[in-house]
Amino acid sequence: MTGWMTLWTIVFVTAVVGFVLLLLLVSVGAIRELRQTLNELREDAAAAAENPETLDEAI
Amino acid sequence: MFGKFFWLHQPARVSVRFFENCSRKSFLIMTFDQTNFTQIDWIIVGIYLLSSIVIGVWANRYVGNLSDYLVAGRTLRIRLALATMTGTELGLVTVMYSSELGYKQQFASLYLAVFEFLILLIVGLSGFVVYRLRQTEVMTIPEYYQQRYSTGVRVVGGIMMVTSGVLNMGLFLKAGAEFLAAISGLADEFYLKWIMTGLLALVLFYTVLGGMVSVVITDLIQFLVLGVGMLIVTWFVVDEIGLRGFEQAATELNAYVDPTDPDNPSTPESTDGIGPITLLAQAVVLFIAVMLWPAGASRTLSVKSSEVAQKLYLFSTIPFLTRRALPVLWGLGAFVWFANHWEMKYQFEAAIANNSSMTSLSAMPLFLAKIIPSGLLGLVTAAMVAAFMSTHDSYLLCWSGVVTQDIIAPMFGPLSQRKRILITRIAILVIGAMLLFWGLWYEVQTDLWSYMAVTGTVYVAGVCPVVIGGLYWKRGSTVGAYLALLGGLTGLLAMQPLLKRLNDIGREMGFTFELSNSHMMLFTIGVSLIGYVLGSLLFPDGKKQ
Repeated sequence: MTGWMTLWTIVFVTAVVGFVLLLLLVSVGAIRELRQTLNELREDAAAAAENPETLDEAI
Repeated sequence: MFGKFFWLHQPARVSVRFFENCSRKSFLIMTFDQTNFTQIDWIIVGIYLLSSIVIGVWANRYVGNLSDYLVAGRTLRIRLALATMTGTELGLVTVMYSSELGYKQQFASLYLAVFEFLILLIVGLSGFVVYRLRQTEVMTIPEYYQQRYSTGVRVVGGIMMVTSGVLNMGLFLKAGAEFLAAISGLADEFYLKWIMTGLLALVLFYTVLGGMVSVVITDLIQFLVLGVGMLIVTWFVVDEIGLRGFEQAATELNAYVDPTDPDNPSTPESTDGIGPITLLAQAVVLFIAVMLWPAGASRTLSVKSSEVAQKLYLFSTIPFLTRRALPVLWGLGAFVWFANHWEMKYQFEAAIANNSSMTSLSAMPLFLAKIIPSGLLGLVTAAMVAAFMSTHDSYLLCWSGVVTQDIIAPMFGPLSQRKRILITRIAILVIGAMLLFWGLWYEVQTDLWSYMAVTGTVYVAGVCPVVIGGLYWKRGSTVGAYLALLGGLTGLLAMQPLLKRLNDIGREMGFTFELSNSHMMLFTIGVSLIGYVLGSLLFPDGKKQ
């Protein structure tokens, strides 16, 4: 019983502390990464707009 | 403790009128009277929902081609991938079934969190399956079937995946409705159904428009809102119950602590616990699902490289641990709270017994509605609605992508990107309509997690040998792949009505042994595995190998 309760306590504490750290990690850099992703997607969208026929080619 | 600093914090009290009523309806009316959910909370939720519409419209401009629509052009870096992976896998349905297990099986239900954590750690450190899968450059798992086996395997695999996936997703709406009803005190089922339909329509709107691009953006926002919301809830639960309460659960309340024990001491029945067979079945299913569940795998296939895919799994250990552990903590809090408010517990159990539309799923939201103050309750509900939406959008896109890429396109010849995007959008709408229909009429006869594990097995049993064998065993053949995929259908026998029929037949034939979900899950995985190995050895692909 004591062994199990020790394990479950570790799980709860790790989950809370780990999740706080994860939130901080993602919050710090995710917006920059989103901007980079959107810039790359914008290039894709612009290329598709310039050559709309590629979208109609059967693949 | 700390929660008392909030001047709004006024836990609801049970009125005398409450005890005078026994029916479910009066229970809900009294709960409605006593919930802390007010108009300000509805406004907070409404503002959050409107922002999702704006994002859907805005994201549409970034969709240039099919790859952008289905896998965001494979441009995701680690933080963004982590946010969207967590957003997808930490859905309201996960919160609901985990807290239900926390309420019914208390500490012992944490074994699922530990299993998942360890499996992700192994995959993240070794790159097992995910590294090689990303190297194949496919967009969906059935696409890999074609690359490795044949077009026919791709189509069959796609059909199996969508069947299992839509069945698995079938109760998401119901779980969401039960959460919203319990936390807001909204007793009228008519309005509730319309609210759930509206939420689904909203998800359909932005997913149809922006595909994976809008899914990624909304997932990031949903991840942040959900993260903050989960920490707020945990704060209030610990404040309300206190460490003494959790200690009391383990000692005075006979909480279930040891999952290897098949007897759950918190219930009068003697064989309703977890036990070794269930532990084994869940470990196997989780091992496969963590690597190859389509919604998760679509993130693996959306990242920039194999290295990022492997790293994503390593970093996902914590959110996956959290997604199960914190809701279990809330369910456990509800268990202690109801035990200390025995009159309320009596009424709650009577309501469950008297009316099938209220289940043990409601325990956690009912508890939260009592301890979290107005205003914050709106934020928490917005967080849970975020969880609801972030899972639906990814799942809808995933299944509809499979319908287009792996069923329609291989069967009806080459299609242009424009047509594929159109078909995907139509498939999203059709699957949405099916979910609405299934969610409204199917009655759950078991706990939600068991339903999800059983329906998931139909897919994971087949995908395991076909993908892992394909990646690591040169002799794996097309016939073996067919047998493994179709073997997954055996898993349908684990659905509660069919399992009951099977046990009835067994009893009529004189057998005393009772089959459980876990037996059938292991049996299904065994059938698929044996089918794959025998099919491959007896009918090799010959020169193609």
